[in-house]
Amino acid sequence: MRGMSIAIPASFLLLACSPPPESASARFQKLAADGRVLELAQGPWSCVHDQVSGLVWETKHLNEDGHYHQATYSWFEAQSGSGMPDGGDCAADRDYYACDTQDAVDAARNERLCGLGDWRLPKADELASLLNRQAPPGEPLAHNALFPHLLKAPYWTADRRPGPHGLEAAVFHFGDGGTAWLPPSRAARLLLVRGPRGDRDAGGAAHTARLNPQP
Amino acid sequence: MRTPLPALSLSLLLALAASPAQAATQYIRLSWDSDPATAAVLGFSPSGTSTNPYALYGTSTDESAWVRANPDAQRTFASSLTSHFLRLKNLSPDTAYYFRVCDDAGCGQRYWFKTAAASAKDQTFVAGGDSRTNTANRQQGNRLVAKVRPEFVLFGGDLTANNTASEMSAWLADWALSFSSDTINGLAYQRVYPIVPTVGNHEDYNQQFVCTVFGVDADGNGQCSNRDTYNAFSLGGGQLRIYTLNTELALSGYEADWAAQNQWLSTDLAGASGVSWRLAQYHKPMFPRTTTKPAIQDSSFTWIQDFYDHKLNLAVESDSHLVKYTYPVQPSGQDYIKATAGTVYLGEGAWGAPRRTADRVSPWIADQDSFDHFNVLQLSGSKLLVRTLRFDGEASTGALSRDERAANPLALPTGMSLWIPANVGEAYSLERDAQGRTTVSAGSGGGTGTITVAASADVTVGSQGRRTDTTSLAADGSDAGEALRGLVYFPLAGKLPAGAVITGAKLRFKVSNYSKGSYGYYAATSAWTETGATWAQAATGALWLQHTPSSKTTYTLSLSASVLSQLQSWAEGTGNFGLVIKDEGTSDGLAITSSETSTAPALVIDYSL
Repeated sequence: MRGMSIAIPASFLLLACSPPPESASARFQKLAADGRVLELAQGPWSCVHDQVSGLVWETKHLNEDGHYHQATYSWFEAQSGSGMPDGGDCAADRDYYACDTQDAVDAARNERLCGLGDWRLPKADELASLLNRQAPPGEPLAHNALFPHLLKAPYWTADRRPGPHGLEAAVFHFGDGGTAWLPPSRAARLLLVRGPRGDRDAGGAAHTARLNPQP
Repeated sequence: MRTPLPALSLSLLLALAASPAQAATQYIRLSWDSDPATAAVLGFSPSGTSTNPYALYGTSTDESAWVRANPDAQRTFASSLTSHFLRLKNLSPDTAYYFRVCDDAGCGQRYWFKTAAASAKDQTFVAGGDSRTNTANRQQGNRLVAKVRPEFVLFGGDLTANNTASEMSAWLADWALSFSSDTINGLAYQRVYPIVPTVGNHEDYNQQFVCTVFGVDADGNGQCSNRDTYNAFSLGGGQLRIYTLNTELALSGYEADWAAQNQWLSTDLAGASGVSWRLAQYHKPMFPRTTTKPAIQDSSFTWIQDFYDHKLNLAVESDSHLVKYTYPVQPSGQDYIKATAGTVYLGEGAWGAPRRTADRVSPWIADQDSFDHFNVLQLSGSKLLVRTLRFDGEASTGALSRDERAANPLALPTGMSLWIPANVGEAYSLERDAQGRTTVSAGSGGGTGTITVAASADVTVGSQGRRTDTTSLAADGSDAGEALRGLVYFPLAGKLPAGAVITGAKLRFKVSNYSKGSYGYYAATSAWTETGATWAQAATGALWLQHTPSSKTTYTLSLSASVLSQLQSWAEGTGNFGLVIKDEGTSDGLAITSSETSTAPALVIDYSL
């Protein structure tokens, strides 16, 4: 009942609805868990570097650990004391524990996933930049060769607002490419990001920041 | 099948029972599949080598009056989980039965259960489902069953992730946590609650586990088959008829069984005269509330018109690992529409299975959310009351005693963490209209209420770097020269119904080490964790109250209007860093019981809608 559509700035829609400016193979780089850049044919990879946006994305996998693709999280931000802690289910060593988005951010930072220590929640427009409407029918609307375990599901973003009955955070849905507001207790998926923040220009101009993973 | 012991006298049996040797049996379970006023199925498994297992039972704790019964069947699940089943028949309605499971090595611990009433009566029962994967949360739910002391438990499938023998063994071991401990005539007993199991999609390749693990024999033919996976029985002399349906027969290669079930359901619903309430449990919801599932599940959707036409009052669905209440609804094309009278649907199974996003919006939903829970249902006079118990409040939930349950079949534990859905309130009060369809009781959904939110985290930090997270939370001006402060977090976000305004609040805590000095209770100002909290993070913000905790007791202290506005923000999901407990100049230390105990600090909040 509380979910509703929200408007995405036109600049983001332009980016989201347009064909990717370059082919996926030219746009994305695979990164190993230690941050090494891999050839596109290589693996396993733990992150994907979007050379257009400059963002590095966590990738999910099937192992029941900190990057398990089926894990869910309540939305919680410790710094502002906002949201609801421990309302999702995360995997660790084939067992599960209650978790939230802050737990995921902290874990990725502590782990120095892909050699990086500044992981955060993506903004809705950043997640929308991964939208690929040319994905095969029935598949998540994403570059599934690079993100093979992304789900047709809502993913939390950093965007929040005071809703009619309390705090709400935005989710981006890779099933329909839409965005909605939900209460923080709703246990959605999560794909972490690191890299430059800020609004894009209308054309989704490429960020030129280079990836410089630390060993 | 084992050979019985025909020549043993009862006195010898009792001598065996009295011996210190223990039966090599485990995984006690009791299920219902037919008239629960007169029958039940007792199941158990060998623990190592168990020779000649049997049960002794009777209607009193005088074991000399107990009778011996040998298992009717031995069944093996997934090649390696062996179970013995004893069908108890000709039982007396609404009667306590006491029993022990024995074998040649002796008898095991004492248990008891109760048969259903043969006539209408007030009663409490539990309905939930989906306990796979997250065992800690599953165990929380099981322990809450023990605290609630229901008449029986309806379980909506997906007990485990892969339906293997090892997983099922672990599940059965966990199920023992749902038993309540009693002392009766000086002896330790465990109250066992009958379960009515349902097939879920994680059991779809071995759907007959309801027979091989729980002994359900719906058609009474002594054999396990898909016919045992759907069933109906009435209790309370027609007060309630319970349908257990199998959505997994659809599209699974069992088309003939699927068709047979649907034909049986139509016929039974139409012919079930003399029945007041009709309830169905099944796994896959008709219209899942998470967008990661199809908008319509064709299997259960098959039944939508039968449910409405034949006045099914309540359907308990599972599978999506979230929570929902619908308004009374009726079919409308490929959807429901809200109706004055119709069927109410509850769901959707989160008894430890990974929670999912409740994000599909429909106008016939009263409210939905994502948390572990089961439903506590009560037949109360002409009403059916529905509450949803959150597992995250286990610590603050008291346990009903045997006497309390016996004195009041509608008693509920103190301190329960209940969902307060928008448009409903703490209890969903349902009635039947003249045609027998479900309506919402007049006056439901508004007014006032009270919730208790127990601390979910707390830690003691010291000015010289101490950090302790134990069953005790301390504060002190000087403890061996080090100042101590307590940090406490109350997870208030989302616990109040939409639009609720906090009208009053109290802080409750139990003192384990009293002090003659004064202590202040302040809002914390920055984030902290139990494993990493620092002295700097125990800085004080707004003062809530000052108090001298001068005795070893539980205090319940009223909070001022200015604190209420802060709590309102917390409830709305913002600015909650918890509470700091700080000395106000005393070195006479204070300790309170922490969130690691059953007497965790709590906020008791009054609200209005």
